[in-house]
Amino acid sequence: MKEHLFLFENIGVEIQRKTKPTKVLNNVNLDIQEGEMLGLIGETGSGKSMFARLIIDLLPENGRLTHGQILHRSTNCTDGRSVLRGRKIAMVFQDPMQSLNPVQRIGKQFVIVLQKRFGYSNERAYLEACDWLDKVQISNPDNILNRFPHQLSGGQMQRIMIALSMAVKPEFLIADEATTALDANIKLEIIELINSLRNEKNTTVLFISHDLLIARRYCDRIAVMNKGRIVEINKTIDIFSHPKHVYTKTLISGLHKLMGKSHKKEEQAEKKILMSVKNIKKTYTANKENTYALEHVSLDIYKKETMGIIGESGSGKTTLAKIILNILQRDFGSVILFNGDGSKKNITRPNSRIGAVFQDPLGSLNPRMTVSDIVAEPLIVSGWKNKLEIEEKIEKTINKVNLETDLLKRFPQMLSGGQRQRVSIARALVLQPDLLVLDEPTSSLDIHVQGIVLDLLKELQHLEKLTYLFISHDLGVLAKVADRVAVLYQGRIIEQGITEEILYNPREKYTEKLISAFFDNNI
Amino acid sequence: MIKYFIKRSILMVVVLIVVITITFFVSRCLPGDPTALWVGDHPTSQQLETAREQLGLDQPLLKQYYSFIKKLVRGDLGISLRTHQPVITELGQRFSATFELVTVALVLSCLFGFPLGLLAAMKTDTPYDLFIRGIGYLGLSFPVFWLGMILQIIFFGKLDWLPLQGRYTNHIYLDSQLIFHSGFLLVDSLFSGEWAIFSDAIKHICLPAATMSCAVLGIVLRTSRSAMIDTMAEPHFTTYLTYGFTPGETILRSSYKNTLIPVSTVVGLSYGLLLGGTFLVEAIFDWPGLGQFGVLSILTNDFPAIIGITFLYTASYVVINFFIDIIYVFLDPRARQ
Amino acid sequence: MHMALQSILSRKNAMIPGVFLLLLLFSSVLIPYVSPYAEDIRGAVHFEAGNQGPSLQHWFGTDAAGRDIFTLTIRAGLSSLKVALGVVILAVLLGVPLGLLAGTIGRWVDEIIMRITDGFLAFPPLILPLTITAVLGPSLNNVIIGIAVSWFPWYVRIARSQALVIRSMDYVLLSKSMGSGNIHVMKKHILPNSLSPIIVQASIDAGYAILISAGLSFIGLGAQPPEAEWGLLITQSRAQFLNHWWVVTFPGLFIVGTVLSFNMIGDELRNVLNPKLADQS
Repeated sequence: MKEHLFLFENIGVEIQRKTKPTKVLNNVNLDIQEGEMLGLIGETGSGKSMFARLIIDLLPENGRLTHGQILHRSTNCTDGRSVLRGRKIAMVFQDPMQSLNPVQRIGKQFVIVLQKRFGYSNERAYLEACDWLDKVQISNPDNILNRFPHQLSGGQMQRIMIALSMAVKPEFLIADEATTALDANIKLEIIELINSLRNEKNTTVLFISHDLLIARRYCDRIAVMNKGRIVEINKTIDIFSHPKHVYTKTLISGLHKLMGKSHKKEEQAEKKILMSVKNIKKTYTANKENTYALEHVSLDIYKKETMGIIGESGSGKTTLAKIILNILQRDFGSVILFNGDGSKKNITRPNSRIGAVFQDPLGSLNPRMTVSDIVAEPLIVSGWKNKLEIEEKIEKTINKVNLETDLLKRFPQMLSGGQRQRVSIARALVLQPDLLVLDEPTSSLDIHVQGIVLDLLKELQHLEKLTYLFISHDLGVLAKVADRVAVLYQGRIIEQGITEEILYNPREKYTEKLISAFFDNNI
Repeated sequence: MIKYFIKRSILMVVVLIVVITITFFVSRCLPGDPTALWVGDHPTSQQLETAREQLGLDQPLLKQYYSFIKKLVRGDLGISLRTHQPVITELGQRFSATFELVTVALVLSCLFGFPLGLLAAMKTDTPYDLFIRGIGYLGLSFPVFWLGMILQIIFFGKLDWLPLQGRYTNHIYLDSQLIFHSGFLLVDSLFSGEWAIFSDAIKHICLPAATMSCAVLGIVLRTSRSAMIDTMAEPHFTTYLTYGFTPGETILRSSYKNTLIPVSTVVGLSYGLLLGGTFLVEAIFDWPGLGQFGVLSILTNDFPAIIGITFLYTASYVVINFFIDIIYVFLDPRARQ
Repeated sequence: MHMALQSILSRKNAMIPGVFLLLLLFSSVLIPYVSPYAEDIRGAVHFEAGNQGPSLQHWFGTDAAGRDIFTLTIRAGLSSLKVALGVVILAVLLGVPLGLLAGTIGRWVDEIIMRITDGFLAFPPLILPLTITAVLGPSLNNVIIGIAVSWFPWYVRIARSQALVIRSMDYVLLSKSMGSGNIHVMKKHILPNSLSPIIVQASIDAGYAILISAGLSFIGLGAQPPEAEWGLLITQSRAQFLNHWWVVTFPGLFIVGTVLSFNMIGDELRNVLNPKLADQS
C-alpha cells in the first residue's frame, strides 16, 4: 500500500465576500497517492482552483481555512506549508503568457528561481536551464532564454513553465488548468510532456481541469468536484464505466452526447444557396503580433443549414466573420447574398438580413443599457419609431429565447452568462434575419449552460427557418450542430465538406490533429 | 530600436518648432506697448519711433517671425526690454540656480516618494499605508507658495535653524576659492573642498527644495504605490510566491522593474510641475533663478524675455520627456514593437 | 448609475469632504449678510485695527489694513469654488467631444487632433495658464479661461483612449453590424461608458484648478483687489507674515482643506466607478 503523499481531511475554506462569508470548500476529503496522476475535475466555480491554492498555502487575502487538517506524509502541516513551495511542490498555471514577468528576460527568471532553490551560481543555473529546455523539446535554448515572454507562443511558454517547475525537483506538481488556454493541437503535446516527465522522475501530479477527455486518457484516478465538495473519487476506468454520483453521471453523459455520432440532417432536400463567399483576401494580425492573411477563402452557405467553420486562435476566423458581416473591409473578394427570387448582390455594408452573436456574453452587451434597450437597438437603428410596436416586438423576441419579460428592465451585470447570451441571440433575431453568424457563441459558457443554449439555437433554427454560420474552435460542438464544416488554418480553408466525412475521413494532417484532440476512438 | 530613437528625435524637433511658433505669436498679443517699456519714462514720440525701428516692431508680423527664427538659431534671443541686457545672458546667469533647485527637489521627491510608495503598497490598508497615503495626499493639496511661507515661519521665524531667503550668504561666498565651476553650487563647493560654502548652500537650498518637492512627492508616492499594487496583483507575482519567494524577495529580484515603468513616466511630468513651481517658489525665497526673472518679465510685458523663458523651459521639458521616452522603451520590452 | 450614486453616498471618505464643500459654499454665500465686518469684503479699511492676532472679536485676526480675516477667508471660498467648477466644465466641454471624435473616427481626424494636443501638452504645466492669463489680462475669469485652455488636452487624451478601448468592444462591433453609424455609436455606446475616468479626473482637477489660480493670484495675475481670493489674501500680507503668522495661515489652510476635499472625493469616485478595484466576487 503506497503511502499517501498528502491527506486532506474534512477541509473547509471560506472567503469573505463583501459582508457574508461564503464556503468555497465544504467538507473536502481527499488523498493523493505517491506517484499517481490524479485528475481533479469540475466546472468553473466548483472550487478546484481554490483547492490548489490551499495546498500551497496561498489562499487569497479574504480566504481562510475554517476547519480540517492536512497531512504531508503523516506529518501534520495544517498550520503552514509555505516551506514546501518551490521545493516539494511546484505549480503550472493556466495562462503561460502571464506566468513570468513580461519585462525581464526568461533566462534571467529561470536562473533566479534555480538560485533560490539550489544556491547555484549564475553560470551553473544557466546551464541547467538550457538542459531543461532541451528536455521539453525547445530547440535553440540560448536564443529562447534571451527572449521576453511576449515573443514566444503559448505552447512554447507552457513548455518553459513545465521545465521550470520540474527543474526545482518537486515531489508534487500541480497543473492548474495547464492545457485549457492552449490550442487543440498543442494541448495534447503539453499533457504528453507532463506525463512523460512525471513517469521519468516519478513525480506525483494533480491535474486540475474541466476537460474530462484528457483526464480520462492520462489520469490514474479522478476526483469529481462540484460546489466545493468532492462528490466522487475513483479509478478512472470505474468513474467512466460506473459513475456513482448524479453529478458525475451528468458530466459523463454530456461527454457522450458530444462524442456520439454527429447528427444527421433531417431534410437533405433544400439546397438553395443563401450566401456565397468568394475569394476573400485580407491581411490581419493574430495574437497582437504575427501578421497573416486570409487568402482565397471561399465557401457557400445553403438555406436552413448550419455551416460550421473550425478554426483556432490565429486562424482568421473572427476576421472572416467580421468581413461577412461587413464591419471590416476586405482587401479583395465578394460576399454575395441571394434573394428569394434568385437575384443576388455583392454586399459591402452591414445588412439587416444577417445577424450576429459573439463569444463573450458580458462584452457583447453594453453595461449601461437595459435588456430592453439592447434588444431594441437594431429596431431603432433601422428606423422603427412607434414605441408600442417596438415594445411588442421586444417582448415577442424575448419570449422566443425563453426569457421572462421582467428581465427587460435589468442591466447585463445582473444576468447570468446563459441569460446574457440569450439576450444577444434575441437582439440578433429581432430584425428577423435569414442568416446568423455565430462566432464561438457557447465557448465562454459553463458546460451545462452550453447545452441549453445549443438546444435553444437548434429550436430557433427550426421555428424561424434560420441559416447558421457557426464558427468554433471546438470540434466537439461542431460535430453536434453543423451539417457541413470548413477547416480554417492560418488564413486558408484547407478542407470542407459534410461534417461526418470530415470527421471520419480527414484529408489534411492538421484536421487529423484537431480530431484526435477531441475524440477517442475507443468510445 | 534605432528607428524609434530617430522617430522620436524628429518628433521632438517638430514639437519644438510648434512651441516656438505658438510662443512667438502669443507673446505678440501681450497687452501694453513694448516700446514704452524699452524707452522708459516720458518718452518723446521721436524716441518711440526710434525704439520701434530698433526693436523691429515696424515690420509686418511674419517678417518679425522669420527674423526671430533666424536669430534663435544663432542663439540670439533678443534684448530684455526691462534690463536692456541680452536675454540669453540673463537666462544664462540664472540657469544653474534654477536647475540646481529643480534637480535637488526632484531627487528628494523620488528618494522619499518611491520607497514610501512601495512600502505603502506592501502594507495596504494598514495604519502605515493610511499614514503614508495621508502624507502624499496632503502634499498634493498644499499650495506651494503657502507652504514655503509656513516653512519660513517655522524654521526661520520661530526656530531660526535655516536662513530666510537667498541661495547663499554673500560674505561666505566671496571669501572662498572655488576650483570647480559648473555653476551648481553644491557640486562646485563639494568638489572644491570648500565646506563652509557647501554647508551654507545646503542650508539655503533646504527650504526651497523641500517646498517644491512636496507636491511632486505626493505624485511619485501615489504612482509608485499603485504601480506596486498592480504588479503584486499580476499572475507572475504569484508565480514567484509559489516558488517559495517572499513578496519582498520577489520585488527585489524581479518586480521592481515593473514599477519603474509607470514611475518613469511620472518623473517626466514631475519635472514639468517643478519648472512651473519655480515661478512661485523663487519669488518667496528670493532665489536668483529663471522663475524670478520670469515673473518680473511677465508682469512688465517684457516679451523677448518672456519668449526666452518660455522657450527655455518648454525646450528642456520636451528634451527631458524625450529621454524619458527612450528610457521607457528600454525598461519595457513590450513597447519595442 | 443609481448604484454608483448609492455607494458613494455611503462612503464617509466622500461624504465628509462633500459636507465640507457644501458648508463652504453656503457660508461663503451667506457671510455678507451675517458678518459684522461685511464691508471689508468690499474693500473697507481700518488701519487702527490692523495686525491684531486671533481674538474673540476677530476669530482669524486682522491684516495690516484692519480687515477681518475670517470674513474675507470665508468669502474667498466662493471665488475658488467658482474657479473649480468653471475650469472643469470648460475643459470637459472643450476636450471630451474632441477626444471622442478622435477615438471613434480615427484616421486623419485623429492625427490632427492628436498633434494639436501634443503641442499643448509640450508646455510645462504652469507656463500656459501663466502666459494666457498675462495675454488676456489679469482677472479671475481670465484665469479660468487660461487654465481650462491649458488643460483641455488632457481630457482629449482621456476621452480618446476610452473611445479607442470601447470601440473595439464586442457590443460596439455588434452595433455596427446592425448598420449603426458613428454618431449613434458615439452617443449610445462610447460616451456613456467613457464617463467614469472623466468624472474622476474632473473632480481631482477641480482641486488643482484652485491651487493654480491661487498661485496666479499670488503673483498678481489672478484675482484683483478688492476681490476676496485666498491666493490674493496671502500675497497682500506678504510683508507682515513672519511676525503675524495668522494673516497667511488661515487662508492657506482653507486652500488645503478645499483641495484635499476635492482629491478625496475624486479618489472615492475612482474606487466606486472602477470595476477593477471593486470587491472580487
